[in-house]
Amino acid sequence: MNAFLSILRGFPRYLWTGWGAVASILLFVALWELGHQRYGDLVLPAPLETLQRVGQMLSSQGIREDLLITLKRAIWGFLICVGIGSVLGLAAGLFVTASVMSRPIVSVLMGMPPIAWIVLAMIWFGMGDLTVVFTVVVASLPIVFVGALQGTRTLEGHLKEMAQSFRTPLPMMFTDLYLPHVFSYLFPAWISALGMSWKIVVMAELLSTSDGLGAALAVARTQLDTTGALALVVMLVGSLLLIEYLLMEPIKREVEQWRE
Amino acid sequence: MARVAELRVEGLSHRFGRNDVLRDIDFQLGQGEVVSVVGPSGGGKTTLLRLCAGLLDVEEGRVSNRFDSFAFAFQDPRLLPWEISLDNIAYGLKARGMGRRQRHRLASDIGLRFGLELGDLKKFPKELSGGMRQRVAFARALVIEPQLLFLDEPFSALDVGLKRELQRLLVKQVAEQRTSILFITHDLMEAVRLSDRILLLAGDPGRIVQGFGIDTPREQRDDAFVYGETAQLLTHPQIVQSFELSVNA
Ligand SMILES: Nc1ncnc2c1ncn2[C@@H]1O[C@H](COP(=O)(O)OP(=O)(O)O)[C@@H](O)[C@H]1O
Ligand SMILES: [Mg+2]
Repeated sequence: MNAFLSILRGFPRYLWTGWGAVASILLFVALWELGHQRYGDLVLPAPLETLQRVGQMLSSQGIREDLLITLKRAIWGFLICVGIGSVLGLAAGLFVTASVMSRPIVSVLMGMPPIAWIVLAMIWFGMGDLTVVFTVVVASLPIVFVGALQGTRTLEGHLKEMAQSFRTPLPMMFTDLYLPHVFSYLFPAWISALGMSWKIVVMAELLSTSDGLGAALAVARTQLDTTGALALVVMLVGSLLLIEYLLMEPIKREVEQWRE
Repeated sequence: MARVAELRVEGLSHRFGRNDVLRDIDFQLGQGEVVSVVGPSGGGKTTLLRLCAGLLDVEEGRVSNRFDSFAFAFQDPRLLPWEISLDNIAYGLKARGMGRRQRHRLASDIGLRFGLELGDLKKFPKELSGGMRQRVAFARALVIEPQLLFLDEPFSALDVGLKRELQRLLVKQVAEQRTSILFITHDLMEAVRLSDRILLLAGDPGRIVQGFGIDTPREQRDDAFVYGETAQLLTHPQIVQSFELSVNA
């Protein structure tokens, strides 16, 4: 609760530090405009036009629904992957055998291209929500798993010995030693997994569903509607940036104040 | 039979793999007594302390610790990086199940007594200087008022002023609370200043080759006494041998 208040209090100052980010985004937009003037509408529509299109889309019922569907799938996939990955990673980290055995499995999972998962999922689950969510989960799972595993395996023996010398009871071992340490590995992994979920969800939708932003992107492609496609991409990237910088980053700053 | 608070070590030997670290150590430490162990580095002093504190399993010989409570101050501070000084100091109290308000009060009392400022108590370890971290670690060991205190070269990283200050606090603690201390140092003067008995641990494998008693009460040991006594000890062949070895190593 205290942490929550402290995040809120730090928020204005945090936003103020965002000017640098705004400047670099504006620079990017300027380059985009340059590209547009050089190559024309069909290849690269003007940023302004694209933004107007985003505005139109957001005010139209259909695309708003698609956006919500996509966000829902991405967030479900993300949450399930965070839940399963964290628990499995922690459990594996506590046992040497499990952590050694899981390494090759993780390598296989990491090396497996997401597109292959999508194809398999379409065969197993058909076209629909389940396929998309499944793909998001399996593609982001290894990231979270490895974060949790490393977190448990890297706690310094010195600190454990200190805790032992004070006869620390087991619950306190968790609250004061394991969790804070593990969390510092886990949280960055969660953020990577979030980014991953956002990318995978569109790809999976594009191939396997008839609704969601991915499906809308597929339609834009068949109609050679470059402006529409770009507008969808802007919405996706924008929503990810909003979540990452307005939600995750402030939390991260608060909980990781102690870091060097 | 009345329970006598003492630490008794009998025939204690230890090896790490093929490395013979300690051989046949015998000594006792009674209530209110301060015993220091001096010797070359790598001679097994830390290992001896860990065995006595039960942080390492005894393989050969016997360690019987009949003190009700003990605390360990390590060679390095070992603070939890994610907790502020106040919570670090209060760690042992929390482990004993003391409530938040009370343990914070005790922790801040002792922290201030050890020369930390209110602001420092709210800082994370990364924001503290090396000396302040050492004070926090020291306060964390003392705040639980242990009957027995294991100190592993706790002053070695400190400047002279702070060292003397913490030594003074320690002497006071021993006098007031009858705390027993098993104390490792490679500073002979520090050993002379603080202990009732000095055990000389020779290396390779670590064994106690000599014990020296100091009868003058701690409060009466001024600088002249400490210098004199140390000089006298330094003429002792065993000490010369052991400390020269450590210089050459
Ligand atoms: N956990 C350990 N595993 C293996 N060897 C160790 C371990 N701890 C200490 N040693 C070895 O035991 C010897 C004594 O170490 P230590 O007790 O730390 O000496 P001191 O504290 O006197 O400097 C050294 O040779 C050291 O390398
Ligand atoms: Mg040592």
